[in-house]
Amino acid sequence: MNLSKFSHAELFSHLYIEEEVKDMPLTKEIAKKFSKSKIILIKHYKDIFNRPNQDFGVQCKSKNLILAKKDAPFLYKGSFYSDGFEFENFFYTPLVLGCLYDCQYCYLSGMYNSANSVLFVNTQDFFQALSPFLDKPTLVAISYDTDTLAIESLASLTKQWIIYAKNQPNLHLEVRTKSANFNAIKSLASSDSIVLAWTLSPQQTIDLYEHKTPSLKSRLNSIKQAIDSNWQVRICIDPIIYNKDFYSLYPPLIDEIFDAIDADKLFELTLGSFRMSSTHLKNIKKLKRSDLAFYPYDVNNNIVSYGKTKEQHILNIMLQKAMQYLPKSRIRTWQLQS
Amino acid sequence: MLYFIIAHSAEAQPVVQHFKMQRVYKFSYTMFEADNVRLIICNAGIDNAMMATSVLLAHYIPTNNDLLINIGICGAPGEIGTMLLVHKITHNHHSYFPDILFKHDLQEISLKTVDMPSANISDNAVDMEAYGIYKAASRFFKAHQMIFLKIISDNFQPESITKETAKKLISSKTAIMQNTINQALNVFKKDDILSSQEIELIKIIAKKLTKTQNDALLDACRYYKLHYKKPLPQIDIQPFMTKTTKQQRSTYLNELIQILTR
Repeated sequence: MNLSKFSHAELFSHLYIEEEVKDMPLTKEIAKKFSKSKIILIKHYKDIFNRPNQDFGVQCKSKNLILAKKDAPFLYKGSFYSDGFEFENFFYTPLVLGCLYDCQYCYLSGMYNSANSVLFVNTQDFFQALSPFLDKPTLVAISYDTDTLAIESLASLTKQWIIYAKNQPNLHLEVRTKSANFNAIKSLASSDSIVLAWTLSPQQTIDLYEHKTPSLKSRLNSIKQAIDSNWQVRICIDPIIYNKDFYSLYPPLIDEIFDAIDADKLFELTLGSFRMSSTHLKNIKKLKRSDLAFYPYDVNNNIVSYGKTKEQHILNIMLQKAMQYLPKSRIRTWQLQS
Repeated sequence: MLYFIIAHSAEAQPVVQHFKMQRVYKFSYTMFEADNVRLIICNAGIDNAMMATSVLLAHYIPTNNDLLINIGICGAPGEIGTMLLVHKITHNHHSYFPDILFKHDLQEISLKTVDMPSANISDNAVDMEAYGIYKAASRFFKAHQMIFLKIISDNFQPESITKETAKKLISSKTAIMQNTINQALNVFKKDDILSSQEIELIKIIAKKLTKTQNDALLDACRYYKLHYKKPLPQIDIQPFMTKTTKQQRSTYLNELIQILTR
């Protein structure tokens, strides 16, 4: 969902606003965009977001927005399930909790009680918390528990971070997205320390599992625009969903990508098959929404995956295909550690 | 099933008539029932509301497809007779937030539950039960399964309200109430992925399996139904009954899971 295509009034029927932030400029700016939403003042975002008796699946049909102030910590160590790209400092920062997209394989639906999103309006506090780490190269993923570019029209968070990073030589950003919203940042000059990373899936996978996200074609158009504007773009085919359609869907996806994009101009391609913490998967099963939750995965050290053999097979096939277009040095794969 | 918790008989009477409910004598509360509807009169006050709600719901444990409705009159700013839908219920600085996930044309409002009838003018609606009902019911219902409908009876002059006025105000809004209930039920979850016949079949097989094996079979069946969007294929249960060793049953189960999840 590219928010610019939607009238803001259609998005959130209710805006929950912490009393402490109700007069902050960003709060007012966002509230103005949702003039038809009911505004409900709350003491703390957890009073709404962490309520025990919520139904994530039902809430997905009508997601609401919570505006709040984040208290420390503002940075978290990058997860085992993600690629830290060999940076000694690898953090993610929760600018927003929850995502407007509804991807059925996403760990967020197993991690949070609520399908609503919390947007923290005290952006400057995040920058301040980061500055002590910037004496050495530091990677920060800013779209970790959300898709910041998808909601750029709400608060311009991606823009603010890109502008901040340009003055911090040691700060490297990864902005991961499924949006088709490059337009929102196209006025900014590209930077060697910032990677725009698009997650792509075959259109059939998007239709089945990535609800409310833009089509493959629109994502590819957005990527093309970004590359043409000299941005470093990483394409992530991750998670790869393995079932009987894998062979007919995923290798052809690579052809489709490089039909649309000049491989020489792509910064990197990453490949990873589906994996998740078994605790999150257990919670996702309770939602009873998606076949993906019920696949007979291998469980090892609290990680569910297709298992080493199948994972290796999936990645080999994808790697071979990708190497028709890119040198191996520009292809990364996420694999289970032994 | 609809569960109505209502403070006073005068407020309940129009609802009883609307659903053609009959008086039942099960607990030491005034209760009414009809097909798929139960109503209990809790009397005024938070404690009374909590107790009656707990008694009703602990006896008739609700499911994910049920809905709790509190309807009654309230003091609030605005035109007398306006029906309000409550999105925040506060008592002594603590608040609950019913999830309103359905489309509606009602005016939404924050409601303050007070211990005594209040003549203090407020921006909020004021009642004496909603907080107690929510507190007790949230043990049984999810936040989107509870709706609190209030009809403005006065602008903070509670002494002006008679039983007749209360009855008349609720009577005039039963159609809107019914429409709101229908809207709320629309967003609810559908039934389990597996049909009752499929569950029965798996229960028969389960007798020959360990708990872990049964969970794996259930998962595979759910995968099949969600992935292929059609009923389960014919499952031959005989091998589970006739194969005598655990090893043989386990091999057959794994083959079956592979077929269902390929």
